[in-house]
Amino acid sequence: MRLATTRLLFAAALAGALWTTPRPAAAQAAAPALTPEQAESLHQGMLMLRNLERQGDRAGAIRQGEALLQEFPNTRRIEDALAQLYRLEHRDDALLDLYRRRTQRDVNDLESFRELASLLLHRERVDDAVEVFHKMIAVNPKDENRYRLAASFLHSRGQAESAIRLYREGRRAIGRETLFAAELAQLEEERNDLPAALSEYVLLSMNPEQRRRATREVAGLIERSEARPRLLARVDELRSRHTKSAPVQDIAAMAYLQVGRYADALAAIRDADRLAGDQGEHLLDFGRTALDAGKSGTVLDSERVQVGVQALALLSERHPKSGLAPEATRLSAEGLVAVAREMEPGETRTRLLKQAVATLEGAGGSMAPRFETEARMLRAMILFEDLGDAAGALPVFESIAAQQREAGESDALVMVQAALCRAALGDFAATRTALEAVVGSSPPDSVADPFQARRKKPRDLGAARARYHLAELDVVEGKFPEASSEFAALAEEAPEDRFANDCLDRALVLNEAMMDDPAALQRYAAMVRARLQRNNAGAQSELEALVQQHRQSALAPIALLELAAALARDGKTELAMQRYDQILADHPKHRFAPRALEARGDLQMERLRRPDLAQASYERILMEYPDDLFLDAVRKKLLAAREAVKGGPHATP
Amino acid sequence: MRRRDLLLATAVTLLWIAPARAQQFMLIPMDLSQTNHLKAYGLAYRMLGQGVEVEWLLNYRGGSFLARRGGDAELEARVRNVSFELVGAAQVAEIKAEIDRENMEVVLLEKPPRLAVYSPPNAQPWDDAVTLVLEYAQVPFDKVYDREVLTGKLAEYDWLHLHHEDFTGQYGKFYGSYRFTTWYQHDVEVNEALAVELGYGKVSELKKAVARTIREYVRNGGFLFAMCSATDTIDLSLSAEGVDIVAPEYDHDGQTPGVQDRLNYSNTFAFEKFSLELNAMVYEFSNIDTSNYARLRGAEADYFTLFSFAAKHDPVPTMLTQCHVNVVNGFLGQTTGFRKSLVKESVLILAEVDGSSEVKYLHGNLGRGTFTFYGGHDPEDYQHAVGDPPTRLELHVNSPGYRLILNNILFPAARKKEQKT
Repeated sequence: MRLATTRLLFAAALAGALWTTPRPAAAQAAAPALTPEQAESLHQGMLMLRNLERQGDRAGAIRQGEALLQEFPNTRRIEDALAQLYRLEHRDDALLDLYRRRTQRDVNDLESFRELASLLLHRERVDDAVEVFHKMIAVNPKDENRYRLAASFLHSRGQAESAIRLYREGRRAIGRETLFAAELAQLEEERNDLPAALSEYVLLSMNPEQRRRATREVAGLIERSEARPRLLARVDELRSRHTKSAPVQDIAAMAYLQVGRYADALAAIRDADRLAGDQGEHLLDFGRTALDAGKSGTVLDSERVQVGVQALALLSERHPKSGLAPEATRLSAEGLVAVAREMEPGETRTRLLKQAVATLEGAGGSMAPRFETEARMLRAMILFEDLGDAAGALPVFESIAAQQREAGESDALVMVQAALCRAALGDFAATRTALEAVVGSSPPDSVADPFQARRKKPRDLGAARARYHLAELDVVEGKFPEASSEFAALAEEAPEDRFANDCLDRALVLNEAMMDDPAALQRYAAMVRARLQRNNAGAQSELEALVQQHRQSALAPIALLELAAALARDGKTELAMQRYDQILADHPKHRFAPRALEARGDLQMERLRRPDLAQASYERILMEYPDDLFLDAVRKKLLAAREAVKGGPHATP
Repeated sequence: MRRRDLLLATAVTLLWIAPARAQQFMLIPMDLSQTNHLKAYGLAYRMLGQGVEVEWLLNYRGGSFLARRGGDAELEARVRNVSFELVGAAQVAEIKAEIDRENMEVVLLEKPPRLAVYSPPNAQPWDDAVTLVLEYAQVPFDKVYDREVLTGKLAEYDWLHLHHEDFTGQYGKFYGSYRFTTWYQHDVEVNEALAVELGYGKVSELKKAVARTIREYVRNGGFLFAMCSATDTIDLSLSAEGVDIVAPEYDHDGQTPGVQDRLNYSNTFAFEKFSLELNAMVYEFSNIDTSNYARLRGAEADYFTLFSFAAKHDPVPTMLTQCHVNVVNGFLGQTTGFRKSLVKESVLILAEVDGSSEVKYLHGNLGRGTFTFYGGHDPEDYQHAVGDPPTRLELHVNSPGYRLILNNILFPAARKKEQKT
């Protein structure tokens, strides 16, 4: 029995030794192999040590451990146990000796180097700690991981200066100028040496894979910094010193863009592009950054947008064959249109829109066919929707439609746009013919295959829009029952979204109005006619007359709603709000009432920048119209308004 | 004539006002008609926090909530898309009469419990289903860890949650697969430093002390809710008083010889007579866990069934099992379920896998407090692996599995009623 127990204990000891965490080869060699008796003795010794510790006799446990270590020198298990005990008893000197011995014994035991340095730092012996790391590094001075381990450890213990020195030493020793640039930049920023941080980001940008990150970090640095003038002075200095460095010029351009020095930004990005000798990536990134910030900021910055547009135009000019040119053209045009649409109608708005059109025209012929079609489509939409130039837009739409037909693609949506151009030019007969052609050429829904019917292809969408406008033409021609039926059919077929809801509303309104004073319907028809002709003033005047003269008509609510939307589009926000309020006052239970509240909330949020008022509007919808179909969208808007309110008084989202 | 007109006008006015005034109560149904079950709990919690008394109608329409109208509860319900009904006193009387007749009960919720979640300061590459659902339901909670537990901060809380934790000090037994990863090594470093800082020679000793403190917290009246590996590891740790069950890979010394025979099951919450898994390379703590059986079933065939209880006589387990369905989709975890033969007899089983010996959800008393254990990691992620993205609860607003978690946060708010027998 005793033999069996001994064998069991031996096996356990051996298993323990075998299952020890793998250590570096040098450390394993330091401890000689044990005989079975020695292993047993060691095991018993460790048990005794643990028992003493559990009994609270730490001093006894330490004595036991030290005795064991004398008997079994360089045994890691004993050293680990002793290290824990020394820590608990605050015997730092003994702990230091222990780790010193380990690091001398095994120069690859990085963990022990780190522990030793940690102890020295704890005793505020910073220089000694750094010396320890130097010894660790000296084993293999070309190993960048050693520098990283040492420096990051020093940094985590509050020794940023030492960490910086170590990184710089590593950079020199390994001989790569850009090594540790990201780490050094962060450290320099933490100790508020922003020009030094900036220099490191410049170095980081020399690595093509890190260029974008570097420029982003620099922009962020400038944004965060309270010492902008100092930083910008450094940027100026770097720029003038490194006139042949594309990364430096690129970073300078982004920095100047950040602070509004647009002329300098443009000059710097020109230089960066010239020096880079690439396909215009710098210009594209710059343009995109300028446009994104210009469009999404709380204050519209049209000058910034123009700088972005100029940079993108430069790309098309300097790199006409670049694969990035179509993207640049598209971004330019979209940027200009986005800015223009934020403005009140007027000369500046028109000028920007025409500039967008000119940008798209100028790019024609140099792009791949797909991009060219997209550019032409965008141009046509700007001409028609924003500039009201139906005559200019019509040939463009028709040529795109012809091109799509040749390519075997669906032309339905484009043909609808072309038809609407004809309506705007007053040729309703041709409009009807064109729209009927779209409807006639789309395949019927396959009732047998419900999945097929549910999948909306472009041709189906085009047909739905065509039918919608045909119904409008019926209204214009006084065929109100036909129009109502068509709107009702569309509402039935379309998925539950705003389009279906709109169709249903029109069907219901016409149905109700057909029992009213026919004069109201005639006025409504005149309004639809004016709207199709893009005669906004005429449409508004018909709506005003409807509202004034037919207050009790079933058409009054929709007239108010459409009038308010038209006024909002014209930038007459206050008048639009009054009309929405009139719907709520005169028709509180009408199905348009929650739409009026929602639209009012949207104006309060986006135009008036009053999220607190918007919040109240949206909350009213939830409380007063709990069965409204679009509550999910309203909830999202309400949460956004609440967040904006939290941001500060009248904070904008 | 004039008087008659006046009387008529008054009568009409009263008739017009009466219906509005008669709807004095807000009923939040929790059956299949509810649009967002998870946020409904948050709404009830919020109302409690505003001093509104909320009644939990056990087994009535899935465990509905009833409260007097007032404040901004209705607006918040609409904002959170929690469906509710306005009911009058007469309807409430009918509801209460039905409750009296049927296996239902009314439990008054008095004040919101103060919630604490045991969570390490270093980020883990997995998510805690309980914190996810508390955040989604907008229920506030605090985080605590070893330092707070050992310095007595638990006394400030009514309810404590433990999730994917390892109270044995073996770092989740991730050694076999993850010992070379940065997060694992960082976890070891953080825990070892913390052990030393708090005066313990080993992490396992620290965790034992934490487990003991949690047990005392429950004994003194605290409510404990544990999921996943916290459930079995806390019992393993408690049973290992005075012995070393930890593999040398973790604490650099050997396990106590014959450790299996030296476990003390009288210290544990829920489990007894279990066998430890001592091998560091095996991702398992003991034979309590039934993950292997669940994996054999697979996601498509893994369900567990909630037991029914007599609401009037056993309101506590009834509260804990309120749900709009009886059969719930299963889900894995480091500890997926509990072997029935290892569950103490004094512990109440709330749900199990039909036709098997696997317990999914259990509850018990210890001293003046209670504990509830729920196997698995995330009710809406069948197999949540290390590094997986968090579950998006807005896609699971009616999750029965998550409801069971939320039952546990409201149950401490219940006023204790005297037993009817």
